[in-house]
Amino acid sequence: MTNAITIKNLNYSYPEQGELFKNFDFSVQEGEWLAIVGHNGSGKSTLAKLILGLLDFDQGEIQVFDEKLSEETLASIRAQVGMVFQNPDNQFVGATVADDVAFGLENRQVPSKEMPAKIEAALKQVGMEDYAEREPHTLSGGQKQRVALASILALHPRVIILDEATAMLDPEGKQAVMETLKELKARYQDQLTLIMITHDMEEAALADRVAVVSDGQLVFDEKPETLFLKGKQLAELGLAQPFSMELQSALGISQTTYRTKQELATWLSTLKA
Amino acid sequence: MVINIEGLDFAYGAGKQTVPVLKNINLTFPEGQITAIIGQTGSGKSTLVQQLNALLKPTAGEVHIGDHTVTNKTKEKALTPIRAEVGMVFQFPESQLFAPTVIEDVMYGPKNFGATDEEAKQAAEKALAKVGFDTSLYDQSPFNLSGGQMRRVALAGVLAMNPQTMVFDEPAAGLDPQGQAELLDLLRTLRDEGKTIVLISHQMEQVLALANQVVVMKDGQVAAHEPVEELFARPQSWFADQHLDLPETIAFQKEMEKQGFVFDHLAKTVDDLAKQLAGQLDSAKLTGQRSDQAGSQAQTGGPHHE
Ligand SMILES: Nc1ncnc2c1ncn2[C@@H]1O[C@H](COP(=O)(O)OP(=O)(O)OP(=O)(O)O)[C@@H](O)[C@H]1O
Ligand SMILES: Nc1ncnc2c1ncn2[C@@H]1O[C@H](COP(=O)(O)OP(=O)(O)OP(=O)(O)O)[C@@H](O)[C@H]1O
Ligand SMILES: [Mg+2]
Ligand SMILES: [Mg+2]
Repeated sequence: MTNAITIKNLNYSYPEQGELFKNFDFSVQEGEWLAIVGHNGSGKSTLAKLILGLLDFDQGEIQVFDEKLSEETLASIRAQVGMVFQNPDNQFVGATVADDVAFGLENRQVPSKEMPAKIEAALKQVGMEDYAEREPHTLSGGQKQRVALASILALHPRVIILDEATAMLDPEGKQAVMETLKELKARYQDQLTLIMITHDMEEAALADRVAVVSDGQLVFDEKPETLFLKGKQLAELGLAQPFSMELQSALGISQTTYRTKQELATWLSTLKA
Repeated sequence: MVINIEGLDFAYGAGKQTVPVLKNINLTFPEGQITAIIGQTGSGKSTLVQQLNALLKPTAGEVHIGDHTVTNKTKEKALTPIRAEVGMVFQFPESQLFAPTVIEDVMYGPKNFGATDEEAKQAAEKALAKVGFDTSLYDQSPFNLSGGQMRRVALAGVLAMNPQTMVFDEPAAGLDPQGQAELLDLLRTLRDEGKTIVLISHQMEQVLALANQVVVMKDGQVAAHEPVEELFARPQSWFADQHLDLPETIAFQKEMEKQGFVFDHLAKTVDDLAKQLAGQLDSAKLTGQRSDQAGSQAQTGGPHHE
């Protein structure tokens, strides 16, 4: 199996603050769907910015596919990794929504003839096609997040990093984004690697693997089916379990089997008195 | 202090460029209660709450904020005292941070409304503690923080001013699960102290746990305005029409009702749901299934290695 991202012995601290990452090792396989969870300030966004070369690490090595991150490879790596930022306002560059999507495409030298169709398709994918001529800063919170996502989806990157990209979406919008991601995964399979930073444990439970970060350290790194049995440890880390597991625990059922909501409902109905 | 909106219309922009957003809004926000505002993306929630502290003035109609009345014609100067009475935490916290350090940022509000440095510092420290902000970061720039840390500073900024009415626009977005749970407790405490709270949220669980009453916005209009129990007793199809979800606990109850379970009230919390379910489960079967499941787990479980 090829690694999409390999991090070896990474050290990083912000000049203003103490040490964050120390001898940090981590990797993401090509085609994997990874969720990263952790308390506020644990280092999730910093890690994503390091991978994109937006921050310079002090020591260690970051490799994206077969390229080591350095000044020479920066452009090529950024062409393969698309990131949706935690605050969409930090991502907008265009004067209109359409310009914003166009900007990334131009950077990748997409011929101008192909642009309008690509822009429209990307905006349609997130239900924002009617807002193409709007100034991004006049959009509602959820609309901004949808456009930020469209700008990245338009580029078809090999690796997509979503930093709390659904935090402001309404329930239906969240659902729609998750469906879109599932479809993309099904279509591109191993050609698409997905990294989702989130505080939503339901969302994390959809991933193949969940990495738990605390104060710059990787504390757990496993499948959701086993991670979400660890209710107590997760609570100690400022985290929680998905609803279905909280309910099992409230029912006094020992935490040995992971069940989704549907699985739990079906199972409980076989136990009806 | 009661806030009352009468016949309000609102459009962004001027001249040919206007974008009408709110239409014929009539609402009362009762004192000492939590009013939640829910609704689809773009339905006008953030636009609506910005009328509550006169950041936006109505295009038509009136907003009564305590003793103040705001109309299209109200002069800027008359709006200043309203800002001291109605505090607002914005949807994107960065947009309200500005001072060189965290502590100065939170002190700004109290100082601006007449507190001495010492009083302001005390109020700021108390507020930052309430939102679980790390004391070691007080002298950092508020812009050199993580998303959730910024959110906490923005929350503290409003708490430190201690206004009678507080408006929170998606306050839990960006908070970790523990922070979210603490926020719920904090909002409850504020209500118990007699504050008037307005909460915008996409998380129905939060709304169910906290709100006294709920306003449902749809395309700039009020689609429903009623006590929380009444709202969530509406049929699932109504929520689908509004593009809204039911809270997890209630959705699960509906699911179990299809399997023949009966519930005497809507479950507000997971514990409440568990209690109502437990009485209907065969405890002998439950124990049997338990050990059974534990056995099969031993073969499939275990940590994941690359
Ligand atoms: N620009 C910056 N300058 C200095 N310190 C920073 C900066 N950005 C973040 N930090 C600090 O680095 C640590 C990790 O921040 P990071 O943004 O990576 O956290 P996070 O896990 O993304 O948190 P959240 O869930 O709140 O978004 C925090 O303690 C934060 O205060
Ligand atoms: N400055 C502006 N100029 C023009 N239109 C605007 C402006 N701000 C908001 N709008 C539009 O007004 C409508 C309502 O926006 P608002 O921000 O109130 O929605 P919301 O209900 O808070 O949505 P969300 O849940 O996404 O935050 C949206 O269609 C939005 O695009
Ligand atoms: Mg972050
Ligand atoms: Mg909003």
